[in-house]
Amino acid sequence: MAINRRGFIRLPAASAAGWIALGATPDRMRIVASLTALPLDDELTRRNMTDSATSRLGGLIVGLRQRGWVEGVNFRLEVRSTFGAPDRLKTAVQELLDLRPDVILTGSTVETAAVLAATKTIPVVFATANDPVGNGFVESLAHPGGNATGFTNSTAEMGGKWLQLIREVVPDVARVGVLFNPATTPRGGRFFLESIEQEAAASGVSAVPAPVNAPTEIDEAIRRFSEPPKAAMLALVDSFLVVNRHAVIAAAAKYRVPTIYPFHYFMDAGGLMSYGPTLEVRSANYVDLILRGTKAGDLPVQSPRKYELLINRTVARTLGLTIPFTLLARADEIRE
Amino acid sequence: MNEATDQGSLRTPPGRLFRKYLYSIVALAFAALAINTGFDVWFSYREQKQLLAATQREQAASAAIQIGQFIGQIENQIRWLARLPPELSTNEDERLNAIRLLRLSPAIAEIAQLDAQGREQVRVSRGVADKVGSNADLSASPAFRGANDSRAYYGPVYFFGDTEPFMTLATRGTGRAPDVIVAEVNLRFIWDLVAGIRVGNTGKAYVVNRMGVLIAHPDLWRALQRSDLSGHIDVRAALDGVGPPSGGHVKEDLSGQRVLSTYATVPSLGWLVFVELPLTEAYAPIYASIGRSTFLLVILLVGAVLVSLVLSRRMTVPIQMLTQGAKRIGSGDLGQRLAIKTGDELEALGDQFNRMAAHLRESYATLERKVVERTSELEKARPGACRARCRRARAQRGRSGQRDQVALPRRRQPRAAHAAERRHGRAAIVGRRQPQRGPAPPSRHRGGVGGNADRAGRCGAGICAPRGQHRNSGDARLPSRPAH
Repeated sequence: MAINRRGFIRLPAASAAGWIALGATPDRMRIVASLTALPLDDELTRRNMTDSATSRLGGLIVGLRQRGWVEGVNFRLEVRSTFGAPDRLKTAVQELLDLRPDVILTGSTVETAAVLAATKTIPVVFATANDPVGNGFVESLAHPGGNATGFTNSTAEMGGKWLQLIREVVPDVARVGVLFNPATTPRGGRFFLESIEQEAAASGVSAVPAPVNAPTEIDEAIRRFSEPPKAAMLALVDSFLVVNRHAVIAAAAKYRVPTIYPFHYFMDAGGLMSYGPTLEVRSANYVDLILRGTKAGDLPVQSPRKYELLINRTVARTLGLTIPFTLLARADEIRE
Repeated sequence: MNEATDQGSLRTPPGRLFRKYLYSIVALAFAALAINTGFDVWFSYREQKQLLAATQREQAASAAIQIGQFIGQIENQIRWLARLPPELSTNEDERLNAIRLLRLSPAIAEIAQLDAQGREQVRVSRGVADKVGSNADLSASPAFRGANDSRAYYGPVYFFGDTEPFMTLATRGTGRAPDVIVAEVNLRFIWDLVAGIRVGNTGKAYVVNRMGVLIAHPDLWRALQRSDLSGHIDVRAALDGVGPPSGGHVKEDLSGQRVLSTYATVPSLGWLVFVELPLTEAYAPIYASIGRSTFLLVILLVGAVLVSLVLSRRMTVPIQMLTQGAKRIGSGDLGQRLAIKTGDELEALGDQFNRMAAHLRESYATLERKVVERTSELEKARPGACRARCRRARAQRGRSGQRDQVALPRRRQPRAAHAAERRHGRAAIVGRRQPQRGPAPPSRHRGGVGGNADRAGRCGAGICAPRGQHRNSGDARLPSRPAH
């Protein structure tokens, strides 16, 4: 009885609150713009969560619906892609700004920098950005201050962690190649390279940067590590590598180079192992708050809370590798 | 004319008594109901508030226990690691147990194992490369010094990377050279706990540390801003050790909403768990009960008005009937009965009136009979004597009778009639009274001078009072007197 009565009171109150919250500007369709480096037909940009559980965009749409924003009813989602090409970036940013969106979501550091260079008023939420303070996106993580906030990815120290993990899989490794595109990775790769070189020096291996500037260079960059002395590779946090992940994994398999990746997306494409933040799509929360009037500069930048280690044992076997107990104990998921 | 004004001053304006009754009954009913409702609402309001505050305190206490358990569980886990006999893991990687613990407890971000001298043996981390055998001297660190046999060390909350609330936890093992396990705990995992605590429908629970800094809030981002809440009155009071007020504390929360707030202390940590419920939700049952009471009050008031309408009508209608009855009796109409059937004192009063009227009627009848008897006796005795007198009286009727009727005030009329009769030096002529019939004509047209004229007229019919019977004729006229 008591619950029924409470529910009875609650229902009109909740719906009234909902209408007031949503109905503040009932005639105006909000525009949420999203800028990504991924092609729009990539499975990571699929809108439907049932098609792809790893889709960031799908997570955003579901999260917004839970908060009362229904696509096509009270907000419109506009997605533009740079296709990982710097020359396409400028036009894509301009296209989005012409839509006069209420909030812009950016995929990674490069797109965030481009959007923030173009606008100082439209709120920007970055999905993954390394070192937002060092890049000048925000004043501080706790109090961003400007028109941008968002979510960071792996910290700089993760470089050392990747090196340690790949060394455990390949104990006799003598050199480690570091794969990245200087144009799209934070601080031209230096962000992670410092901790990698430090750890390499401590463990007696040499760290060799392997910068690539175009998809066609990937094959050659990886081939160089197939020859002795025994080598392994690290792929850095880099939207270019995410876009071209299939090419990277194919080359690593072709030249039998054990490689560790920073995202689990690479595992879905057949990578050996990945270690990085668990995908917890919370951007819907920030988009919702911003659409309801909170200033982006008041929302702290969130760091990843959980990290996950994924290992594909089948790939390890084809490379002739044995996964040690320490990694098996640590792994969040072991794929066969 | 005079009679009309006399009676007018005695009569009450119609409806005054009715209104008096109506007003007083409604006022009484309203006062009783209003006082009752007022008391009811006031006490239920107070009880509800107390109940609410008590429920909220319980929720806060339960939340505090959950948070205490969360930390207690991590403490138990690292205590397990600290007390693990070293022989158990001689053939395996020295990091393995720590790695297992990291898998088990997602909130632990880093585990360091120090030997009895405070030198770091193993450091396993989620975010940086593990270290084995670094032998870094950490014997001066508060964690190493704070952890003793009986108690774990709970470090202060610090913010890693500007936004992440962390806490150091350390326990010491047993034996001759006990290891110390130092764990860095990411307090963001309390968020899952805090977000899961249901306070009503829209209420929330949040945690502040001993310095008043927010470390867990259902809106995750609030806990990442290192918000210092020690400036808030209730947080300040709680930090100073003042117990929560029994009725809860009303304040504005971080988003500016008015909330009912209370808190509980997390045992062993000294953190405070605040539980807040928006006033709109907290007081909704109270408002509902006030609404119900008011609705009832209005309904009862309408009822009271209707009842008092009926009641006062039942009072005033018989009274009005009595008034009219008394008026009729006063005007000489004794034939009508008052039909008051209220079954109470008013009916008794009406019956008394009826009886009185009956008695009066009987008296008249007796008197008239006697007058008739005496008149006929006299008639027989002296038939001729009155004839001449009657003639004179008839001649005078027009003059003096009419003058008297106009000029003399009513209450002196009988005397005037006597005077007129005396002036003419003859006995009053007493007409045979007409029998009472039908509704009485208005009193002012009866008796008095009019009666005199009547009698003078009737005299012509040969009914005369004998000379010398003057005194008696006065008696005989008596029955017409009550009309005055």
